[in-house]
Amino acid sequence: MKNQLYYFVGDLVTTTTTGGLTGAACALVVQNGWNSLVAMALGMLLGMFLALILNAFLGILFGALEVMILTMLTGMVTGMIVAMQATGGISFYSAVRLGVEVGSGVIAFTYLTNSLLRGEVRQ
Amino acid sequence: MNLSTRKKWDTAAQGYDLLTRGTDQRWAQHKAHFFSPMQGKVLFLAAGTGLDFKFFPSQQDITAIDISPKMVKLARQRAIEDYDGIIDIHEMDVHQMLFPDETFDQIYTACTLCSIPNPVEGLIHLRRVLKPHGELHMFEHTASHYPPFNLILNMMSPLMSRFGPEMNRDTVTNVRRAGFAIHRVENLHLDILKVICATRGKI
Ligand SMILES: C[S@@+](CC[C@H](N)C(=O)[O-])C[C@H]1O[C@@H](n2cnc3c(N)ncnc32)[C@H](O)[C@@H]1O
Repeated sequence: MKNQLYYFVGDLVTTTTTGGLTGAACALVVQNGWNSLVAMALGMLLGMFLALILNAFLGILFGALEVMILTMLTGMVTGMIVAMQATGGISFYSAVRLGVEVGSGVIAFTYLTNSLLRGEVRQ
Repeated sequence: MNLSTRKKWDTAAQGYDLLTRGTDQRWAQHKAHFFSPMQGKVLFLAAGTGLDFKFFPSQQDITAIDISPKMVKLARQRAIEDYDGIIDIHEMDVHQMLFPDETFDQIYTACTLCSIPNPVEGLIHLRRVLKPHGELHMFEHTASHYPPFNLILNMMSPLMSRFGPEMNRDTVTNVRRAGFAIHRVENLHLDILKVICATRGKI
């Protein structure tokens, strides 16, 4: 049986991969000088699209529900942040690194929220 | 019988084991614990491909139903290979169950209230076939009450429900609306994956 460490590493791989790829895609697509609202919306959609694709593979390894939450959240947030930054110019490397950082933040947020919500609910 | 639901799950049956492989393994301990109180005359809704049978306590006599003939075919094979008790599997719609009133001591569901077309109506039928002091045990993923998780589930639901389950059903409320008395709700992952235990409530 796979243990908690396997799933923690799996979740980390999931969020950092989604973040890194979304960051890279935003850096390639969004150009310097674009309207930042348009860029944010496009970045979010890009992130969601990549999340859907990664979901299909990573869900088989690490659990479809947990992976869906992590990839979608990372994809959306990374897409918005990196795309907005890209309107003022961002290097490819910085975009990927920012995506990985957002992915790490998402896993911390989700694990913390899970520790607060898990357990018996008073009726 | 709801033919579009049957068709959808017949289509899903082929790739079901692969797509749910991660979930099956990740939730294995929770599921083994969840099914451990099984005893008496038990109804299991819905069999799927029978992935849950390995978690059932041994030597039970269980009745299972599923709307999809393809799921039922795979489940029957698993019941022979993976289980040392009896699992009698029927191709049946939960909305049109042929069992007499008050037949079962316990009803178990796993990731199914997200999948049946009318959850409250389905639960009312489950309540009908449950004995007066019978128990309902559910292992279900549900809507979340917290952002950003509720936002993600609401966005994913229209897409997912084309091929599989709805992602944003308020199953705890649905159980209450069907007349059950809820005794315990336990969150297993965020407030999305839950165990719900209920009894028939006032008759
Ligand atoms: C997500 S699968 C869950 C299967 C299994 N319990 C598991 O956890 O692997 C949902 C199942 O519900 C069945 N189902 C959907 N609507 C139904 C209905 N109206 N009556 C009976 N079964 C139904 C589908 O055929 C499918 O096998």
